Amino acid sequence: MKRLARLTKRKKRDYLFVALLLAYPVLQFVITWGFVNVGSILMAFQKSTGWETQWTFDNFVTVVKNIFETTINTTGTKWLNNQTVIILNSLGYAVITIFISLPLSLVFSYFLQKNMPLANVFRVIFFLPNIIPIVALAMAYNTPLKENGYIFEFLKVIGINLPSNLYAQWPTSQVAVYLYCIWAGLGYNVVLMSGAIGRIPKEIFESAQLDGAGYFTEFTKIIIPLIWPTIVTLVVLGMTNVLTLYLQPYLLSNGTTSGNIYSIAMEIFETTASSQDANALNQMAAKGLLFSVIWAPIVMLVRNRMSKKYDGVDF
Amino acid sequence: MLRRKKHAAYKVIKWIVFAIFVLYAISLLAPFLWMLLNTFKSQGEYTAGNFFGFPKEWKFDNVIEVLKFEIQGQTVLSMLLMSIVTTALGTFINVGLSAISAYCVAKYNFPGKKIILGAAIFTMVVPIVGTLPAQVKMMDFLRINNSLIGVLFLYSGCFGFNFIMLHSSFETISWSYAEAAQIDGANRFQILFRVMLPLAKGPIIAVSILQAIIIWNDYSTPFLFMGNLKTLAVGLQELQSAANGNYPLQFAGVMVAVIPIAILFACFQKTIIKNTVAGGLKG
Repeated sequence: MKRLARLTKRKKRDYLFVALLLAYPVLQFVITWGFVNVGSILMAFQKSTGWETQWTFDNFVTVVKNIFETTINTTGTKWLNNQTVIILNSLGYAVITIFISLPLSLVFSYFLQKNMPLANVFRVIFFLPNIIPIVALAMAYNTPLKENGYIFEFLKVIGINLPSNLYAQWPTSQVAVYLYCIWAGLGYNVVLMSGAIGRIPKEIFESAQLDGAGYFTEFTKIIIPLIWPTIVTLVVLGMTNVLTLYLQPYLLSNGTTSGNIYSIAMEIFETTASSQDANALNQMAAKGLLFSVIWAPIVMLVRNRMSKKYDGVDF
Repeated sequence: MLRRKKHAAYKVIKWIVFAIFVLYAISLLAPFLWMLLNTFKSQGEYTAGNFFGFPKEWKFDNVIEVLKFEIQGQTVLSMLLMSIVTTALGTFINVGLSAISAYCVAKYNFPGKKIILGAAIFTMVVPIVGTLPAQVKMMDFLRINNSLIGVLFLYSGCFGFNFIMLHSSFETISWSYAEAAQIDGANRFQILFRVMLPLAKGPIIAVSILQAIIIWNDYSTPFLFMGNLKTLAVGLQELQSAANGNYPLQFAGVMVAVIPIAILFACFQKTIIKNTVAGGLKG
């Protein structure tokens, strides 16, 4: 009985210790996640008129209406408007991540562990985009493509004239942003995939080689199935880019364009940064919520379907 | 015969991939080397048409000039200091809190433990979109908008990647060290700070370097919530329009932003690559 009492006393002290140390982290989490997310949902249904706040669906109606009805079109392309171009640009991020960046980085990672000469040097260089400030990386991408830059001048010599402002017109503007994302994102994907490929036991490759498997067989029959969970994660990340990516187009264009370069998140970011109008912010909250409600189930569906393809592998 | 042919084909493929690797590596390094080279030219020499050659006259004061350069009343030097302060404090707070919470969750049993672990994983997997306006509202409500304290408050959110990494490190550390210390009369705090944190030094350093890189490079948080006290990442973006046309000066700014973080990375390169590759990301 005495022992039990001592134990509970000790347990009580344990709880006190944990409570003391976790108090701030948990409180911070509850405030930033609870307050922000609940607040964001509430904002989506709010409309300020003078001093009063009304509860309404108006924000959603306006967001949807704008997409179909807005006549503002600074993209230079007839069949678009400044709202549809945002959706198109955003969806493009999923397409290029899944169908270009991902296969490219798979091939890169595969060959990096294939006794490639200078593999370690490449690994360090490919990691660079992860440590350089994105502002500096965007400048490093832009400057050679500007007049007097080495790529601009080289292309001129072989007869290709780049526009003086790459981001002035759609679709050139968006292609330039996508190329940047592929160029800068490759390093990150290669690090993750090399990690996954590195975890595959060496014996599997050895026995495959004894059976006469070549690069292609090894790649499709061993690598892809065995690192499938990592691939699924990168596909999911690529799909969430549709809703979350804004910094790249924002920094690359640096305020030199109107409309044609926006993504969904960039519009929200810009409005938040520049607008003092409560209703404009409410509308952005509604826009974020609306697109999340539409897009998130699609992402989950793809994730579930893909996860089922090669079940039970984990490297 | 067929096998030899196949072998030759593989060799060709390998060298083609090697060539692509070299090209990609050059595309990553070339802009920075080019900017570095042009940092040492005068504006006059650059605009007169020496874009690609070595400087005729090496000019070393562009870096000093850019540090003195003012954007909206704030010098680039003070932005550099602001970056150093924000990065040091932000990293210390974030990693410190992550380590302490990870230790509690890994080593103590208490109600709600599973909820914390679940929430940490959930927030990593589920992105929240369109909440920026609400975040601004919250910062206004707490009266910490437009201040270093506010930015540090946001950086102090510790249930993320660092928490998960350190949680798994603490799980592998045996509790017998703590028991030995207990016999010597150490209390719970002493065990944490004198025994357990030093034992997890390796992963804590790796996580700290990565966190420092993230904060040093962060644009959105200081831009939105500390607009009057610019960090280098924010200032560099504005330098492009403020020093419009003076490319050597802009390039010097890039160097000031990139070189400190490159040195930090070079010093801890092995720890970082080992930890990110080994820790990796799994679906």
